[in-house]
Amino acid sequence: MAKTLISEQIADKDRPELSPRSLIRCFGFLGRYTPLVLIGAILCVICVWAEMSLINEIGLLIDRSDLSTTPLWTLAAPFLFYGVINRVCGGTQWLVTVYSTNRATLMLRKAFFNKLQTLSKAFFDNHKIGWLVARNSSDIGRINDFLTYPLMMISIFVTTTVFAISKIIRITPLMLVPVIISMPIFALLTGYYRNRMRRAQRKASEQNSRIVANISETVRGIRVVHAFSREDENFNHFENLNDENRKLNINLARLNGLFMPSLDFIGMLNMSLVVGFSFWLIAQGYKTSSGNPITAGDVAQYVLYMNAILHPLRMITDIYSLSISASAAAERVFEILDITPAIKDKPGATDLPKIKGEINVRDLSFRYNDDQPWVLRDINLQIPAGQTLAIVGETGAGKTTLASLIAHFYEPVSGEISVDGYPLKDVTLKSYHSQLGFVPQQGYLFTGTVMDNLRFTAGNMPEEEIYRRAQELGAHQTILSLPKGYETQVIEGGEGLSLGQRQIIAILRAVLADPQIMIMDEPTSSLDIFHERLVQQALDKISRGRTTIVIAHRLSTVENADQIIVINKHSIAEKGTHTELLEKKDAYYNIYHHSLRNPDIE
Amino acid sequence: MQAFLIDSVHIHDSIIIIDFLHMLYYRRLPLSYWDNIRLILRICLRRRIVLILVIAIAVLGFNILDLAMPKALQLLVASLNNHKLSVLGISLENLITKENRIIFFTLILPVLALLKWVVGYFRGVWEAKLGQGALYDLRNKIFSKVQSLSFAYHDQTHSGRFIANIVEDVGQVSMFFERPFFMILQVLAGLSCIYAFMFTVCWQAATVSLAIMLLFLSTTLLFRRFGYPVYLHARASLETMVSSFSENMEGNLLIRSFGRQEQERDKFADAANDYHNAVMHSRVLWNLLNQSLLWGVFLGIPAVVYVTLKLLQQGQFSSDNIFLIFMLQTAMVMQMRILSRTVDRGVHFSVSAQRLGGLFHVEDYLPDVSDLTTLTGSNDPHPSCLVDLPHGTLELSDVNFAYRGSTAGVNGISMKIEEGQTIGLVGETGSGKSTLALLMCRFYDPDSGSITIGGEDIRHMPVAQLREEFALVFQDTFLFSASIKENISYGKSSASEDEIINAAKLAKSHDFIMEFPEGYDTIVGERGVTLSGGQRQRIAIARAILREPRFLVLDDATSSLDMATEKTIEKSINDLPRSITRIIIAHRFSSIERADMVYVLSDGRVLEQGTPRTLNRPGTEMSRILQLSEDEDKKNNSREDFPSPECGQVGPNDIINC
Repeated sequence: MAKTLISEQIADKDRPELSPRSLIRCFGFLGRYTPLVLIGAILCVICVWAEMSLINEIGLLIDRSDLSTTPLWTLAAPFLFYGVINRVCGGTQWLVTVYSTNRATLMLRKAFFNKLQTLSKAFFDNHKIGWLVARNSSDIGRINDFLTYPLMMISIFVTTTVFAISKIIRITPLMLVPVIISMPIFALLTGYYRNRMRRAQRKASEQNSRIVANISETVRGIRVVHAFSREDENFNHFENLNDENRKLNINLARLNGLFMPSLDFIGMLNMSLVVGFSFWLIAQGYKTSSGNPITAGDVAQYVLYMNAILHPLRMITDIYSLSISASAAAERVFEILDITPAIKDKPGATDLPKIKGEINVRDLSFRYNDDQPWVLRDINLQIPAGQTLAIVGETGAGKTTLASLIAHFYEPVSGEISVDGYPLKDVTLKSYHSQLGFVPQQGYLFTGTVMDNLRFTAGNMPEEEIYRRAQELGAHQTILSLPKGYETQVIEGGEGLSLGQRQIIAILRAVLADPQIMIMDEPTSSLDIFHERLVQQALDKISRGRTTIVIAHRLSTVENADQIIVINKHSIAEKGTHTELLEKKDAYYNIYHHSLRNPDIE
Repeated sequence: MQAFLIDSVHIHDSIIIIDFLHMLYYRRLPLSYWDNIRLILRICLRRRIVLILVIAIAVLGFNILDLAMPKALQLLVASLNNHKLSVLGISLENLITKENRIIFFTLILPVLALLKWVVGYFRGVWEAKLGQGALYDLRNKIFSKVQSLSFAYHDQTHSGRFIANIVEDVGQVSMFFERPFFMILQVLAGLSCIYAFMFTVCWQAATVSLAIMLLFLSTTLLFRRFGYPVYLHARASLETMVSSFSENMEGNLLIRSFGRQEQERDKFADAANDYHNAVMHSRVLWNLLNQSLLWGVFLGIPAVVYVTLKLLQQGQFSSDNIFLIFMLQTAMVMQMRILSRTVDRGVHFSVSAQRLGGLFHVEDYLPDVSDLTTLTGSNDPHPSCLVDLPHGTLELSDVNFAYRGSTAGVNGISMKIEEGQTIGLVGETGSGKSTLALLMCRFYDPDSGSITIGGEDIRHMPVAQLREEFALVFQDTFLFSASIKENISYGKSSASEDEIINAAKLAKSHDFIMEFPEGYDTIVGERGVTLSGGQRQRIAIARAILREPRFLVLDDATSSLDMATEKTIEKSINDLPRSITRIIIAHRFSSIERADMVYVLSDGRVLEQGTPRTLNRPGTEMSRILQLSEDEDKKNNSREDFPSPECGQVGPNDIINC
């Protein structure tokens, strides 16, 4: 699964431009708002009809011979009538459509988010957060635009064309000749420029993302920038990117300047054809469909109708580009919506009862997908309830993967993990996870106060109890030393707090849930000695009476473990207690000495 | 689940309106509103006045040509009805006769269109030049502003949000300058041309139309006042929604392992509801504006028809002129659509301008003698300012410094660091070690006291040149999205390949770099290969070594390395030329055992100082802080049963007790 996800990300560029299937599927999201959108489309038709009728009225007015005798209000009333209808329908239509697509996209957004909540760790391993955020903000926005505008535009376009052409036919079908001549030219020209424009646009937008990435890196790396006094060089580099962007955009404007007025030009040519043609028709003495001679009013109407058709014709380009970007956006969003979670409760999964914490790993093998090498092979492991297991090994040996498998963030490829005799695949995720404490490598904290973070697991536990537990763990002092103690605000991830402070809070948070099994991924790496010691002491305390699995980076974490496994080349190389393993004088022995030894520098 | 979603949508339907009214009533424009807009416009439009004038003329020309078409059509109708033909009172009877009118009317339209094409092309290109130029300037300004802001400023801001805001705001400003900005000109020119024309044809109809129009146009002014808070709220709720989303993704495993999915779902649902409602508010408000402008046009139609018909019945008017007035009036539909869109983008722009303006108003620089980093964004390095930095002792005398909004910092620290010495700084987190190092290379200025090199205050030296002499490795390593080669040579772009490889070897990174298929060209950083913490630190160390600084500062730079690698790198650093002053911040005794002088810090004060030998005795502060070394002692004692695999080598105990 992992690999398909990666290749799909890469494949974004080679995607077919327009996928009608996903566009149709977009409309599915309108759900219960579909009737509203249809009402919107109908209102749109009425609105255009009223506009066309205004043109009709002015044409009739020009030809009337009794203008000077007819009461004024009977002449002006139709204009008021159609004008009001046009505005009432136009305004309502807009509101109705925008409202329903706004709500529909809201549902889509929530569905998207909820889907992500069910996806496995493998998914998040392979998708950068930034990429997912862009799906949520820009792609769903594009789908929203697609649901809102093209339907509106198409209603306008179709209605206008149908009305105008039927009116023209009513004058005389011959008047359609110029349209038939100019339409293909219009279509060809649009097609040609559209391609050129799109290439130019893509270039410009790529350049734009380069600029954005550059600003973003400079801000995040500002300390390094200052430390290495790279300001001037960076500025020059940025200025070049910026200048290139300006050139690309001016180029784009050139293309645009050639193209858009050329549509006007063709429109005008068309119009002059219309005019010339009208004169010719009049000179030839042609009659209208109703048998009367062609009048000035007829010509006026004709010209205005033609003009009315030309305007929405230009919208086709807009509809097309909206559809293209929505199509790509929708495919990316649907891909995620369509993923069957790799890990989900299988039908008939039961709730895990309150566990003691005995873990059994039998013949476990795992790889991310079929073409990739094994990450773990034939792992067998028993952890009696309440004992501590330390996992040791080189980076990339599979320690984190093993811990994640035990946490059931992945599904084993073969073999089985069971807790208290219950195979993990047969129990509900929620019932297992609620008895599991997990401390990732770098304590991640959520936005909110420290207390909010603790309440994450503590629920409604009285504050005194939280303080007491914090004291037990040695975290109370650390938290009180923060600017506002337990009420200190934490921003995204924990910026502003030191790694050590974050880790202590993260451990306390995990402990407050009173889990029977604790899994910790290198909880003391990247900590300074002071915090390392603090965390170490906390670890010793929480491992009492709990099954604890700790991935160790510093060997000091390991010594007190009831069982140590050394993972080497994707399988367990050694297993035993600290003393046993040292006596063996093998892998563990080497690591132990290698890491603590002070090589002779001289 | 589904039912829950639908319910919440229902509830929010009614809240939308209440919220909306509340917001309209209570939010006011900020005081600096216009200042910020002026500032952004000045940056964008300075030196471009001529271009604006040229564009204004082109726009005017374009609009006049635009109106030629209705006139031509009116002439056409008049000619067909055998009325008199005239333009602005000049008779065209001789020009257009019954015989040549077919040629005239067939040709006049393409000729007009061709003219429009030419004018439109240049107008488009000039507009792009202006808009893109404005953006170019603005972006350069922002970039140098961001780069020049002091550490103290960046400390206080949350980088992720800061970047997101800048990117979004610059995007909004650019969207404004891409088109809407010129559309103001367009609408002004368009409306004045239409009305000028209408007045020449029939002043009575024009007056009536204008009166109606103005009544509805006034809503534009109200819109700016009411629109701003609504748009601002939409913008803020977008940010909340996005950060709620990204936070959830980051903490995904935790949320799952704590079984908090449902609460998180609700939390995000709230943020999403809020955002969608806010967008709806802004859309509704905008629709009010758009509608009222269009009502202005559409109510004008029967009015002008009525007025012109009345004149016609009085015998002062011809029916073809009614047609012309009608066309002129309907031409305004387009102008009004453009206007409402422009106002929409304009309010977006004003929201962003406030925030960017706020950024530009931050005056947070270190005063620099060479004034290298100024708002003007000059990239001239002022080489004349660069004098040779004096050599000699780095001396801190009674340095006091506190971070903003915090009491932490350093309190009255004095120390003398001779050239070529190795200094160890030891202390608990928050004791001021890193701060001290940052003060030395002037990332902050001390609140009191002074730091001198060779007797000269570092504040009297050009900042850039001072920092040239330093190379820092931070605990939190940052690599750029570039190749490993570029990252290592970041501090010395002129470095040769050999120098780069040599530095990488010294930092023990050559081997793992060569394991990548692309070797030194492997892209790392956010958009590249993910490196482990230890690998990143090693590249950062290589980056510092390559710089050949006079002062090498290692701030807990080896924390993610295993001890064997750490030792090798320490040896490499020790083997660097003797002239380099090394300042090593460490938590392990082994890292500083070769220091000439060790300072033990606590709460921003020097608790102890001395050689590692004198300090590494039981009872000293250092031995307490580096308790681990004692722990290691104990371990070592218990490990005597298991001699080291390579016999005869010194154990940790030996060095510590030596």
